[in-house]
Amino acid sequence: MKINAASLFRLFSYFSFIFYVGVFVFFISYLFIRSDAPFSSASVFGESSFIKAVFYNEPVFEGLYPALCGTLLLVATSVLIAVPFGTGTGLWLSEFAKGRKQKVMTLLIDILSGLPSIVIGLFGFSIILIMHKIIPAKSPGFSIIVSSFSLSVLVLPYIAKSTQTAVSSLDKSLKLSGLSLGADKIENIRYILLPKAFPSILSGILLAIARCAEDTAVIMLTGAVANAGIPGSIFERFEALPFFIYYTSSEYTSENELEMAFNASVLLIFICIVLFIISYCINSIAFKRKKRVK
Amino acid sequence: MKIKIDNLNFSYNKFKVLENIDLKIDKNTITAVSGPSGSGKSTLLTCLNRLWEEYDEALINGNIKAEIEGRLIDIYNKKISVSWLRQKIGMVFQMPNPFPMSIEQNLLFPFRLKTSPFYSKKRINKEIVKALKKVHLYEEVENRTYLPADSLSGGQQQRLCIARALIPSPEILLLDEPTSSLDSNAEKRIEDLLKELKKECTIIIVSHSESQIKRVADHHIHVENGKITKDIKY
Amino acid sequence: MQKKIVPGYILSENREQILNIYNLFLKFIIFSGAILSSVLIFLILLIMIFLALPFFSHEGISIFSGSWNPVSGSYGIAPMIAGTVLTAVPALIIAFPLSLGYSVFAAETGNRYLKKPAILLIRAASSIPTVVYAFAGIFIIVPLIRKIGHGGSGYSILSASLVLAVLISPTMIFFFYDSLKSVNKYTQQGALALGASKSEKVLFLLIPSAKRGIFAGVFLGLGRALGDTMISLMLAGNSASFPDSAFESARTLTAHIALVMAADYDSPEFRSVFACGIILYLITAFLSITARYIYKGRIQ
Repeated sequence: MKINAASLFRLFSYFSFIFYVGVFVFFISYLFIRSDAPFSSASVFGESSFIKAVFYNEPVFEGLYPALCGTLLLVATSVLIAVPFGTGTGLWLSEFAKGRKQKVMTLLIDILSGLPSIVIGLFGFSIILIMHKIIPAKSPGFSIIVSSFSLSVLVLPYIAKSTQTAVSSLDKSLKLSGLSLGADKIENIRYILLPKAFPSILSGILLAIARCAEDTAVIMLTGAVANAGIPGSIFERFEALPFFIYYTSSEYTSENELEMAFNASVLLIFICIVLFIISYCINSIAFKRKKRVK
Repeated sequence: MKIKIDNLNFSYNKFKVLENIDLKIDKNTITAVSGPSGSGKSTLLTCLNRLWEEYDEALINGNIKAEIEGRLIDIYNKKISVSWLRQKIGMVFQMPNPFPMSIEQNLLFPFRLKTSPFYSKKRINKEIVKALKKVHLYEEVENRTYLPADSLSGGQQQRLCIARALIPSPEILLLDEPTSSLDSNAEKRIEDLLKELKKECTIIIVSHSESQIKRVADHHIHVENGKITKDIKY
Repeated sequence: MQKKIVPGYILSENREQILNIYNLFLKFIIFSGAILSSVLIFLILLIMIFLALPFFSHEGISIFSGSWNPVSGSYGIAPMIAGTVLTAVPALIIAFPLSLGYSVFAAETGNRYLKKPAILLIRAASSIPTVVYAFAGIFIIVPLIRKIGHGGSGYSILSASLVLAVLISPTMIFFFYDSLKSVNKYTQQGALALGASKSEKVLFLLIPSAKRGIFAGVFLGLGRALGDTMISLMLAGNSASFPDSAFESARTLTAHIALVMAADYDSPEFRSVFACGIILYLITAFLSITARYIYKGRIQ
């Protein structure tokens, strides 16, 4: 009996759609419902207020402000390190690497991007250990700088890949135009290719930023702690939103703390989705512009 | 008379491609459709197997009747299953488009569809061999039907596509410039093949080669700017 | 000084001196970036090996021994390997068919107004952090499992697998979606001309044609599942012994690394995490290489 395998399959595809939509909608709404005014001043600054905390350095208890600051500083530092080298690698891959070199490098980048984040955290930790042995007095130990460095190792492949794609998908005639006018490769990149590919590169960077903000495993091993207040410098330990969520989930002592964790989850999702939306918009504008020109 | 087309109009994105086409095609003949590029000759073909229904921008009106399985039916009647219709009116494309699978899998494909009657494995194998023999591919691939279809030469691939289209025993066969991507040897083989197939189907072939038309056609239609300008029966 | 007529972006000689620094900088980051990236991959592995060596040379060590009990001197990480496999593989088994179904919906069978939002939703979902999945899982899945499992804490392999399945789905869905979409349109027409309906075309042409992408996607999903830390850390219970049933707690390699970091720096316990790291590195590297090899010819 020829049962309609194809129709069954179609039905199954509808079911899968409903399943995932249901799952995501459910669990995001759950987080929202259990949170308590996550965007309010109380959730971020606790009993203190925006002005007092930011300008007068009044310590904030029961608020997410320190974690937010930690995350912010962390992401900023990571981006500062990752973007130049990531973009550089991507440019090398698309403009300077030929044949086998390119294939090997792409493979290496693929391996790097597949590594579990905890392994990269372990690497960061190893760096701390080694530095402690070699230069005990001056080694930074657990700090933002080490975490940032590790995070940049984590997101390097993303930035490299998206830069490579962005640059190699540019019009060939564009690439040749600068060269034909006498510019050397570097000038060509600098004046023609980079500006043109910039939106796509930027959207890749935004996604990398989101990745830095949300990662827990790496920072757990390299400097994130439960209570550190606002980070004074990049050589100190720090608090961060994702770590706060993890830490609270296993050791919360009051409903209040738990609520803060839900707030933190909502904030974190919000940050990531906003970055995603901006990245997506940039990409579609760039794409539309390309289409119009054609 | 096998196919009767009355007042067919076709437009794509509001652009008129075919205008007032009136056509009668006889049983067991080879009808060649020629014309400059863009004149609508391929479109005429794809109107016959309702392939345009996949595209929203296409607007068709007019009357196309064909005699299939002894009955005269209106091709665009909503009650008729498109799948069944397309098996009765087979199509072969300009560039060979075998599926990226083995030769055997390509030929098995029509049997998997729900509109195909249920055959036993033995019967299926028989049909496959029959189809391969009809296109004279059997001797060439006999025991190696597990080979990927891509490993065949262009001419062989095209014959495979014809074999594939023949499996559901179509009464009408539409071919859109089937030999334009082939060398003259392969071309001749396919032309001879068509002359043989004429006995069991009615064939409509789009061709831009005058010499090809002279060689195979019983009926020649020339389309220009969406209108028929010549309608000659040999 | 003669003023050359040149396009606006190539400036006059005066300023080139300064700009050369920028060009130098560009050169620097391009080449050092490439060198750095290639060195890093190996450096990561080498450092871990270096730090794990004492572990392997320690007396009485057999990492693949069955029990982890530092107090009594056994440092076997085999239970952790089991934990990793037992959470990742079921997650993959659950996620694979559903991801395939969803990607088919978004690529072909879905209502035309739902297709685009469908793929957009998944893209947005892929930016959700794993710690948030795990956190939500604690309050949604764990109580559920507790009920079904008739007692027990609810922190189990099953809880972790379920949430892990949701985590790896977006990655797989993308891959499948891309592969389905890139089947030659012309070939697809051939299928339609033979009388295939849309779902027949999907099942009998698109999916077989997209085999490679589907395999690669599965490997990538598996890699992600094996390498995730937070979900298994927060949901699987972390008991370092072989679980007897799906409702029991287990510890994965990744969670083990996170948990042990609090120990003494020179103890074998501590060194064991580097062994875990090496295993994870090798497995994920293998999966990435295989996925790439399968997919070869499709991407540049």
